[in-house]
Amino acid sequence: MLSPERLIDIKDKLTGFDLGVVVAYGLIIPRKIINLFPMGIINLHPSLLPKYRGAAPIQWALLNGEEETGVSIIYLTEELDAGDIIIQEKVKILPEDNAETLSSRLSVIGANVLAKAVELIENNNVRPVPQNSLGIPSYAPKIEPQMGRIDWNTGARDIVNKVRALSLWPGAYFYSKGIKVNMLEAEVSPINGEAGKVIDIGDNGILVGSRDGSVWIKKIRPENRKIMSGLDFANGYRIKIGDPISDG
Amino acid sequence: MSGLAIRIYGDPVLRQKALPIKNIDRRVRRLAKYMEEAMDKANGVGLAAPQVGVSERIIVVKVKSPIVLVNPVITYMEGEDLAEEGCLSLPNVVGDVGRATRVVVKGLDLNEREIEVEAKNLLARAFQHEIDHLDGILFIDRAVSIRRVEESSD
Ligand SMILES: [Zn+2]
Repeated sequence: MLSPERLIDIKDKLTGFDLGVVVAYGLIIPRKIINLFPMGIINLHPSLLPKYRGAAPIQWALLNGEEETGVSIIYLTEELDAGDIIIQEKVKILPEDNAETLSSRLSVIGANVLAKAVELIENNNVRPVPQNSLGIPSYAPKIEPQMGRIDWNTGARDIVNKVRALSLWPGAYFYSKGIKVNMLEAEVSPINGEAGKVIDIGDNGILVGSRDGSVWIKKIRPENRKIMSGLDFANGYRIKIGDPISDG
Repeated sequence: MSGLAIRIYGDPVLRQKALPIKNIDRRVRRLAKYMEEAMDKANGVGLAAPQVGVSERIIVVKVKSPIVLVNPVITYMEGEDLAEEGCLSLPNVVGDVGRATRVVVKGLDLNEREIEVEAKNLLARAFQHEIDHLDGILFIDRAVSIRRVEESSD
C-alpha cells in the first residue's frame, strides 16, 4: 500500500511495467502516473458501472435495496471510476447479505474477473465499452458516521437496509437509556405499528414500529459490551412492550 | 365498561397470560355480552378477553351460533390443516396457520355449568386461536408467510 501523497515521489519506481492494476484506491491518479504504463492502468470497481461510481459502491447498493450488483474492470482515467469497461460481471445480492458478506463475495469474484481482464489485455482481445453507452452514472459517496443513526420514521425496509449496508462501518445504531446500541441483524415485518415504539418482544427479538411495517431487532451490540440477541437485550435492559426503543 | 375497544398488537395485554375466572358474576356476564357485541361489530368469528384489555380467561366464538366459554381448556385434538388466519388485534395482516381440524373444549358457561363442546374445521380453528390468546400467544407466532392484506372498506 502506498499513501496518496507519496505516489508522485515514487514515480521513478513505477517505470518499466506494462500494465498497472489498481484495486480499492479511491483517489484520483494523475495522468503523469497513468502514462508510465504503456498498456494503461486497470481498476477493479465493485459495482455495475456506470452505477455507483465513488467510494462506497457496496454500501450504497445495499442502502438502496438492490438485488443485483457486480464487479467492473475499467481503464483508469483521471476522472474517478469513469473509464471504459474491459469486463463486467453481475453478482446477486441475497436478502441476508450485509456489507461484510457481500464485500467478501465480490472480492473473490473480483479477483477472477481481474485475471480474465489481464488475459484479455495480454491477448489483445479487449473491446472497451464506454460507460455512457450503458446508462447514466450514479454516485456512491463515502459513508459518514452520522449516517448510521436509525430514524424510526423511515420505512422498515430502509432501516433494515441500513443495518445491512453499514455493518462494517460505522454500524446502524440508536441510543437506548443513554447507551449507543449497534444493530447487527434486523428483519422486516409487514405488521404496522407506531414508529419507534416497541410492539412486541419474543424469541425473534424486539419488534419496533416504523413509518411502514416494523423491524425485528435480532442481534445487537451495546457500546463496549458483548454481542447479544434482541431478546437478551430486552430482558437485560428492561425494555417492555409499549416503550419507545430509543431516547428522546 | 367503556374500555372495550379492541386492543391492537403492541398493547402489552395481548402478551400477558390471562388469569382464571373464579366467580361467574354479573361483571363476567356483562363482559361476555360486551365481547360478543365487539366481535359482531368487527365481523369476527371469535374474541378473547385480553383483546378488550381484560386479562382473564373467557372467550366468545361464533361460527353459527355464539358460544361463551369461561376457563376453557382443549382436552382433545386431532388432524391438521394449514389455512389462512387473521386476528382483530392485528388488522391488515394474515398468515397460514396449521391447526387441529377437530377439538374438544371444556369450560364453564355463564351459568357456571361445566360444558364440553366438540368442534370441527373453522369452529375448531376459532377455539384454538382464542384459547391461545389467553396464554399470550398470537396467530403470528404460529404462522408461516405473514403478509399484508388490503384494508377492508366496511
Ligand atoms: Zn385473535
